[in-house]
Amino acid sequence: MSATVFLRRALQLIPVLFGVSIVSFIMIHLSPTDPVLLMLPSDAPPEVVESMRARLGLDQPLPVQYIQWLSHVLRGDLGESIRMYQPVSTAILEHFQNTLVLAATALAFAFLAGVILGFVAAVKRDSAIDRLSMIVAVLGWSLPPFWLGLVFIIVFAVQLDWLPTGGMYNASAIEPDYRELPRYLVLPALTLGLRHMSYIARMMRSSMLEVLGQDYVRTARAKGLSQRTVLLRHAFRNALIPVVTVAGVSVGRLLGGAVIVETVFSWPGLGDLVVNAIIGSDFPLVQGAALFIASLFVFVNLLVDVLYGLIDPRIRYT
Amino acid sequence: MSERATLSSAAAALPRQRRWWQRLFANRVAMIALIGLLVIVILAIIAPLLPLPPPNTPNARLRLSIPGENGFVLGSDTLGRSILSRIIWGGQISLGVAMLASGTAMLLGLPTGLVAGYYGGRVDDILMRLTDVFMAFPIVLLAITIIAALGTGLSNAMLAAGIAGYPLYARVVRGSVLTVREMEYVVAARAIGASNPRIMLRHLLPNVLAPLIVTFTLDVGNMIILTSSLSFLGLGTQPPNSDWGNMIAAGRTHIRTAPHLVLMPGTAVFLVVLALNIAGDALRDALDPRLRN
Amino acid sequence: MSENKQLSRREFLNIAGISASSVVLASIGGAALAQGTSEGGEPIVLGVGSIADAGLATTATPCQVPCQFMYRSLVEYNYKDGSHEIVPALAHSWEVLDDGLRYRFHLRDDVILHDGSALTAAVMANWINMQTDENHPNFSCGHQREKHRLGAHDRVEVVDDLTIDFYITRVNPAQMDWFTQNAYAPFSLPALEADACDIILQPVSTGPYKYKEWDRGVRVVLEKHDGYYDPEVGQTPNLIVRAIPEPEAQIAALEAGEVHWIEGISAEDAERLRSMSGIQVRDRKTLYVYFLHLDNRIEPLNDVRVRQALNYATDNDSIVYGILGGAAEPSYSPLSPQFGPFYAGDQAPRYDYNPDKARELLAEAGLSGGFETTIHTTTTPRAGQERSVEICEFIQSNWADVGITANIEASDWQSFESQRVTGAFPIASRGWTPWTGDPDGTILQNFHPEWHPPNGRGVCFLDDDEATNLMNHARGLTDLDERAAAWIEVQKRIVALAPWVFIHHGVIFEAHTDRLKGYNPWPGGIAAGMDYAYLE
Repeated sequence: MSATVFLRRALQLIPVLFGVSIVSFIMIHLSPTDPVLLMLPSDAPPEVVESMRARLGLDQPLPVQYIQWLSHVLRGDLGESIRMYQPVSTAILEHFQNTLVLAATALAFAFLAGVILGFVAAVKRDSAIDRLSMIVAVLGWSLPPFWLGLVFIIVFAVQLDWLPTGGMYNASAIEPDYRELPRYLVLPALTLGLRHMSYIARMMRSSMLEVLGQDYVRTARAKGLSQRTVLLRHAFRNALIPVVTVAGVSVGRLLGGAVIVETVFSWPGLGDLVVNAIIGSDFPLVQGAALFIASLFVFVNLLVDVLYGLIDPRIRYT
Repeated sequence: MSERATLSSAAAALPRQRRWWQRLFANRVAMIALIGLLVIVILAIIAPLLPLPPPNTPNARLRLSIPGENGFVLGSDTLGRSILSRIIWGGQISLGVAMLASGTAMLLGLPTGLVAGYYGGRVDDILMRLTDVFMAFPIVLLAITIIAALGTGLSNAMLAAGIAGYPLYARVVRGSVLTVREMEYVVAARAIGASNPRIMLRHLLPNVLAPLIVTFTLDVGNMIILTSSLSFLGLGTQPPNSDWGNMIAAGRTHIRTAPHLVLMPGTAVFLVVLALNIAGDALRDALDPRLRN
Repeated sequence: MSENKQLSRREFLNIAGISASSVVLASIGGAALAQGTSEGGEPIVLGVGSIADAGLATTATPCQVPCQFMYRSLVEYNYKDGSHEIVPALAHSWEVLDDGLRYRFHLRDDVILHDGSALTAAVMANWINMQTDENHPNFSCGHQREKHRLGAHDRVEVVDDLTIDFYITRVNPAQMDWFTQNAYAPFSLPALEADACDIILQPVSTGPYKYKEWDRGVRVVLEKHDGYYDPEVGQTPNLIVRAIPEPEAQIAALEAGEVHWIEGISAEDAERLRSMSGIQVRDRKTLYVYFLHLDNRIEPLNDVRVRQALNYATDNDSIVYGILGGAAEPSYSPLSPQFGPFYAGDQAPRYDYNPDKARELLAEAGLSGGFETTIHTTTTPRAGQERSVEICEFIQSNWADVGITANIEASDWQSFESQRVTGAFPIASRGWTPWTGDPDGTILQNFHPEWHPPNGRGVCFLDDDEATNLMNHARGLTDLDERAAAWIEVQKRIVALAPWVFIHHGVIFEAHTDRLKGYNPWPGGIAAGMDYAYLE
């Protein structure tokens, strides 16, 4: 991918990001609940309510409010959370770290397991292994994550008592001990990753099959290269290209899935934060988090495009 | 498992050895899934006629019966209501809402994709950039944000899921339109002065139908998961009505002492989505043999 | 002011509340819990249901569980014995002057706040003014600021370094109860001057424990304040308050030894826990009351017949014996029977379950076809609210029997309570343990027009001249017998007006490990008195 192509793609993001900011802003301002009343004690006199409203600029017309908000956002100021009593940006970043840990683990699991499963299924096409891995894939794709999480809790945390039911660290110890993190990570990461694993496995299988039918693979075979070399050097690498794109799309979905999975496992991440913010009508926080997640997704897609260019030889060598 | 990428190229007609339904019927697993699906849908529709205890009438003294106890086949919930009955009645809501949500998404996405694909250029740019904006939000997040704006409740959850789901349809339709837009019969129709709406409806729409049906089938499965997730978060169906999502949410507080409260409705979601996915895959294979590997 | 009579009331509460709370000891053998060594360093871990209860500041509810350990007020209830007796705290003694309109407090000279500064009358006066004086520089940051939690407060005057006078607006026999409230627990003046509003989130106050860490939504960690004046209090180096929203998860955590005390368990769970070794279940018959409030201004709830019909249509017995497993008694008054001589009992009208009567009353009100309404409730199993959704769903079906369609909207505690207190809901559930042990606190806050939002939480908007006059009369009396008789008259009138759907007075269960010693449950609050506890 040449620099100009990259630049053009990057420039295309601007209108999308602009749209994302409008959507994030508008959604919240359509809500019937008055955020000012939620920020003040119940006995606040009307004049205090009005002065608070003015201080926050909420007495201005919507377009004015939007521009004010946007100008603050561009300076990195997302406002003050109503319920967390801290700046929205602080709340988002603190929780995003946790989501990142979870989503990265889930993605790594989904990608590795999915690619291996799909690869083996394609190579052993129509064998029992193929059928089994595709059954696993369709089952995995059909399991509702919020329910799967609860089933995992019932089986592995409650019945077998092998793993904790939720959280990120042992909250009963005075100092958090993050060496135990893996134990807390297993169930939510599996829950979050399973659907993506299924998806990647199927993608990998069909991509592999397509590649195996291509001329250059036949040529390579005809040249007498070993099966191993053909599969790994030629087929695998080319089959991976569309899968990487898909994995990029998965990042956005993982962030979405995290909303549910974090709620189930009390994982103190961005998803948990957003759900609580929505339930608690914490508008600045919902707005900021929506903007953050959507922008992140847009940038990840750009990154995937770049990555795609790097691993696709046809693009790299032109 | 409908994906934008794999579907966009669907539907261009290839010489077919067998009719699509013959191929579909030949797929035994898919047939089992379809029949199972049909049974569940029929059960949900005829729920009022079935000899079931009323789903919303509590019997506080028979609460938390295990399956088989006190005459409850699948046990009773926290207020002593039959779980079987609530699953079947709740199926009306869960299935209905998911189908309506997919329908809403299709209703928004079909014209968008059709117009964008057909006109191309500036129109395409604007419509697809808009679609990109909505696609930038993870679907669950977009749906719950929309609910935050509209308020909680069943119809809002449905609408939110529909809005959040429309980009998928817009892209599938646009992709299909692009593949046929420059075909001879379309060019010819334009040459003899057919109006744009006519071309879109008479010549483009039929070509879009096959991928649209496949997308819809697979999307309903996803929508069941999405809308029941919303209900699980307390943003969808409100009590006393049950859908599978809020039944699971209600059972969550009894996960240690009465796990069947979570397991039963969850199994219903799982089986229906599984059947939809198997059927959808088979339908795709049948309608578009090129995608068969 | 008749101190004797007041004491006798408290003694009564003492007997009724605490002695009735049976301490059930499970078999003591093999009490070894899955927990490490119990060195002096082990923290006491409390499991609470609501994140708000494990947080330091919320707009709607004053921070409860962690804050009570960080704050000490002028006086306090006897948490050590778990009674409503008022005992000295920051003030070692006090006098009532000007015929009950002025209270003079003599502060201890050895009170050190968390930042090492000393308590003086000026520190206390600043704290009070911050809550009441709109010109005070820190006025706007009082998340704590709720004027009605100061009782009949008028103004405060510093007499000398350790003497302070509180003037009140009217004779108020319950004013001493208000002096126990957090609103009278001062924050450090230097800290307020340095950090202004920020220290509301990291209190620098007077209690035996001080702020260490707050992981929002997860837990609050407190550590012992070494400068605390009473060496008997604060025996454990750390207290941790954890949010564990699922009751079953709380129980599992208790069984596993991850937490040492849990609140808000149901009667069924209590029964199960009683049979476990190493765990003590305690129950408190309290001033608790569970009700649905009805907004008396809104059609058709402005018709007393409709409100009565809703009461008749509600099958309290099934709620008490079915859903609550008998761990409650049906309610007939805003006051719990634990209020003793103040409880109206049979003298007030009773609304026993009678759907026919309900239909009749609705027909009289021209609503034989029923009507549609919404019951708001909370999904958070906070102590006293554990079964709210289930109870509301049950009531929903009761009401459907008489033709009323009730929707239920259930939300989490913070969002529910912050809207409820503004009067946003026509009908909402609430389980509540009055904090002060005086009928004044319970009845006035809910039914007196002075407490209508936004000035208070009288979300029924009951505005009945006769009831108001009766309340005004009762709150001025000091003689116990007269007071009791007057409050009974108040209840008779209020119950007849049916501003609530009276549901039940529950028994509150809590459970803790056998190793937790020195803790006496106090009838009025959650985990109050835990600062006397230690692990064995």
